[in-house]
Amino acid sequence: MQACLIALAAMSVAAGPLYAQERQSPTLHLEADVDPLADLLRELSRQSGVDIVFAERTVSGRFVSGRFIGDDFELALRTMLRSSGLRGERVRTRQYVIVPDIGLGASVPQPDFRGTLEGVVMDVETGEALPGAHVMLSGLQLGTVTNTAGYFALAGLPAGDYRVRVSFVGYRAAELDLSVYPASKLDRHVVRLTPQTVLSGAVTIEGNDGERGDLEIVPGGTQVDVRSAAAMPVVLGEGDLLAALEWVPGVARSAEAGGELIVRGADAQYNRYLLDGAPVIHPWHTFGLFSIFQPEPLKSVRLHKGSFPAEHGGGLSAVLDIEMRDGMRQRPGGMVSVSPVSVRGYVESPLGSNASLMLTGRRTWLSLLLNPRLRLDPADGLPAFTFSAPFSDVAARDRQDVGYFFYDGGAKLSWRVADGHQMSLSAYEGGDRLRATAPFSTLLGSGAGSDGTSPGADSLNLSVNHEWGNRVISGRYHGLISPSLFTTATAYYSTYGAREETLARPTTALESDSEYRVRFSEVGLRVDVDHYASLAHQVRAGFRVVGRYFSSSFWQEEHRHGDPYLRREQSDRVRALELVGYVQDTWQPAPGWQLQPGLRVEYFTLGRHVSVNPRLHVRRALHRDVLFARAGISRQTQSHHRVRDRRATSLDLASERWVLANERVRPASAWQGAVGMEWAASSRITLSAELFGRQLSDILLVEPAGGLADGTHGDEFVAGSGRAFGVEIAAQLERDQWRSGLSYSLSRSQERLPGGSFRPARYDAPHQIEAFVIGGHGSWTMAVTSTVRSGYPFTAPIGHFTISDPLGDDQTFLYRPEVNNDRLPVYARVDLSVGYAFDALGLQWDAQAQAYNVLNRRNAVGSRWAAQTASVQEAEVIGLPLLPMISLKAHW
Amino acid sequence: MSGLARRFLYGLLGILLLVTTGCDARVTASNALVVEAYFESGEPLGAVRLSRTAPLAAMTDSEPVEAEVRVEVDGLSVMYLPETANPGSFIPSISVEALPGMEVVLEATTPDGQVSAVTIMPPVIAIDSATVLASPAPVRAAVTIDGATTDRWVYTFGVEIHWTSSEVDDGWWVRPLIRPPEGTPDESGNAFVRLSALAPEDEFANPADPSVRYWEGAYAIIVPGSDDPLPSHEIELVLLRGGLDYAQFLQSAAGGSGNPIGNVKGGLGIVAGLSIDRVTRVVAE
Repeated sequence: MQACLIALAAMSVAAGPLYAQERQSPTLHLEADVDPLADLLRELSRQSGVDIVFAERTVSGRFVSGRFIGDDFELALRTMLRSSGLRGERVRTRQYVIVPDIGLGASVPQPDFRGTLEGVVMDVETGEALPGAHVMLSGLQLGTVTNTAGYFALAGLPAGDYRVRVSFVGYRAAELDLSVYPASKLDRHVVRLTPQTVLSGAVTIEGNDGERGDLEIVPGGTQVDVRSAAAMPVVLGEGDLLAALEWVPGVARSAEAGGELIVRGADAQYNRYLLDGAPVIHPWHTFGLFSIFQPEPLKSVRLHKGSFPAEHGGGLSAVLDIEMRDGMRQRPGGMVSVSPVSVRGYVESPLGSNASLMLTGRRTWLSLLLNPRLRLDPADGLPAFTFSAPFSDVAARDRQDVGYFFYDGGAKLSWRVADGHQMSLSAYEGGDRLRATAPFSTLLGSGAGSDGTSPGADSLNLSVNHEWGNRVISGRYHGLISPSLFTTATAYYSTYGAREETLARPTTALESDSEYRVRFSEVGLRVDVDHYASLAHQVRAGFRVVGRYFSSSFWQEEHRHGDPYLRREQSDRVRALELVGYVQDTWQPAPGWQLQPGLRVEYFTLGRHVSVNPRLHVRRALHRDVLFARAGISRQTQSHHRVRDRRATSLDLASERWVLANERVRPASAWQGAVGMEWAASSRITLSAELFGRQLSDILLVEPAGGLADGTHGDEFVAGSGRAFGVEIAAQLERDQWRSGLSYSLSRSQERLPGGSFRPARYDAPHQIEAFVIGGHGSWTMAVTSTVRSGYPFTAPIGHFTISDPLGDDQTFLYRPEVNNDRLPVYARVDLSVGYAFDALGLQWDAQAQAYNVLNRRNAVGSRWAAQTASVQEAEVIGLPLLPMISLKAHW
Repeated sequence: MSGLARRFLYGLLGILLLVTTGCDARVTASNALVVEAYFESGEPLGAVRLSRTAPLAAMTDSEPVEAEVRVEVDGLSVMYLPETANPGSFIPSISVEALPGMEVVLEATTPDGQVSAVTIMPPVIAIDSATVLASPAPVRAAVTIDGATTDRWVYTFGVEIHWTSSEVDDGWWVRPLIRPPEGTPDESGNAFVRLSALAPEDEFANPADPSVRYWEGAYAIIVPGSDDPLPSHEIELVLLRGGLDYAQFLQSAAGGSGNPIGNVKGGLGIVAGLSIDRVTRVVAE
């Protein structure tokens, strides 16, 4: 909360001068004796404090003579431009642009003409529209950001030619002159940006830092260069978008070698992941080791950590907005990558002149080639995997089966329905499968059942089958209703399901079969309308209708001699509707100023909760293109809570369930505030700092003394609160093909049960230092990344005690009265990747060697305690050692 | 600009101050009072045991606890006296039976404060029948004992226990339990062994006759070879009925290293009213 107050104070301080300027009315004293008009305009601008924008070619060759003394700026400007064929047009507060006095190309003069500079920004190679590109009118110090269709519009411009700077992370910025004239010349501009011709990996993450003159208003907003995220070293050489985000200041992972994203110490359940506008509920494979997002088929990734624009909701700590590529418009292309984990790739192709298709896929391949078998090591009796060629021992494999794989596939079909109207259909499906069947008789490989010495022994076994995965289907329409009105409509269905099935046959007579399922689904319609009202105002408004559905079921059936004699069942189903409306204005009142007030109202039918969420973000260019300040404060709500389920087995796979806000459980909410500054110290060095604060309310925390009552959600949880605050300082250095970054986060994340005191949250890491160096020479690329952070808190026992059961047997327990009362040692890791690009067989190849934890540091990632009567033994859980891996990628 | 930058720096310093002075994870030492008492339906009140938690590196046998212990049964207050031969144990000064449905309140006052607990006495439970079925021959299996897994021959045994439901089904929980001979594989790491269960009593209902409760467990006995005969042995079969407080304690204590959730206010431990029945079976070739 403190940081929110600081943010408010800073904004009020910053906003003060804006209005103070309006009140000033200095005396103007201008004298000219055949002086160039340009010089006099600059003098008028200096004396008045009013920004006068003009193109040199417009005023060149014009001279002025005379004298003006007075305090009326407009009179002075008219006097100066008299008989020059030019006039001054006020475009917004304290800003004028010098334009020809008649509309060129028009048959009659149109002095009051105001037009819209509109267009689309796209990739020059692929024809992909680029959402999030910055379009800046250099002279006017105002601009806009392309929407999800790559469209931009700047309304209310007087006729004339304008210098426009268009930039997008990972692309070379373009400077070009675009015209705004009456009908005869009115046209939609197409701006094609060229990808930076750097080696793969020479550009990594680029946020507010390093991008000169950017228009990012919301503090904490980060645009990720997906074209080179694949070059970042990740565990097991598997290309992973979210692994690259670990190097964004304030972002960490929840576990060793992966785990969910932890943004500014908040629990991962408060992140919101969007793929083509549709939420992805649980975007992880292999217990969080890999995300479902391959970087190559993506075209835009935007991370909001902290304050969100009004269009985003449904999360409290971060929103990751991902756009999949539409597919190449000019020619077919594709990529195949082989790593020790999987084979993955994509193909893309035009379909006629107005459509394109993108297909992606991935599958782990070890399980296809090798038959993993669980054996007990004769030396120590511990389980160990051995591998044999497929089909070499079919009989044994039929009885014994231990395997794991994951897969995912996606498709996107895009077509241009008409000029200004585009539709797309996206689909994603992915999942993980883990199975293990271990007959007791064959578990050691020398089983009695196989040689017939013990008839019936084969029937004694244990079998587990776990499945979990996501499915997302979405359809989207982009429509340009008029040059100043653009609409985007998205309909989607997203679901996550998990299933645990266990079959145990402990005796020849007894069989126990159980199954546990959870499913969380969202179906929704979201409509966004961009209204480019004027040069100073761009309004975005929209609504959402979201249906959420959670179900869980558990049954257990026991058979005796083949006959069912016991069955337990439990199931829950919850449906809820969420209605959302929002409006947001991007207001550029004066040169160097951007304000973005917004309001988001959400209504949850279950429990009839209404949330009113105001948002306000401010950006100010303190010194043109060099020093920026940003501040923001916003409120977010999240109507669904994700909690661990006590029904889950010790394997901890389908261990999550969702609690929808209802009559007893309120939606979680958060106030977030941030104030940041960014300084381009030189053309190569960018420094930034950001203060942030977050106040969480109505978050579900585990209540250790909770009851066992069945059937009702939320019984084991209580509504607590939390807070986080801190500062992130970052520096980036660019030189030729090399880029390096260093960031430090000093922050705290805490939570509190009702009536209690604050305790460290699960992922509270007060200190976090991250660094990377990435670049290349010739065909070689290299990336080194490093992270050093405080260890995460954990709950440590402070004593032990013994209690006998009613039959007299002693049992020793650990005494853990406090949650998260201890902290793991400092975590540190260095990763390295080296790549070599070459051409062969008509393809472009990229070979990479990666080393995870290259220093082989033994990081403690957990702690185990063994309670014994005499004392308690503690053992550290050590993370992954050095993992060298290679991967090979081919493009065409 | 300079004013804004100065304010930003002030904010930065403020955050630094907040972060550096905020609470961090810290381990604090304390020793809490542990209460342990099981009262059996239809039987005279049993002993109450008081102890304290011990530091991690110390033995749990702490110093005897000085306390004044009192138990109230259906309005009748019973003073407890220290049992001199058994430090930490307190026994009732008079013999009083706790009958099904009665409320039992325990209070213990120590120099540090007072702890209390309330429990309800459950209906009496009785085993109607109990049978043991042995496998016809030893089975080769991976057997885990004390964390070590080895390849052994085992006889497996299925155990069936029947009992009759309580007339008043008031949310009682039941725990069937097999107590096999010493040295036999337990449930830890041995999926083919099922020595106990814990569930609401109605979950043990026989679908054909809901008034009949039924549970089947399994245990194993290791033998040297595949030709060894079934070893004669004795097992004890136990049936416990208790309330939610006892079930909650058992469930949260599963695994042995968790935080058991007790019903003692102001302290740790469990005070539970129980009904217990047990039978012994001799298994011979």
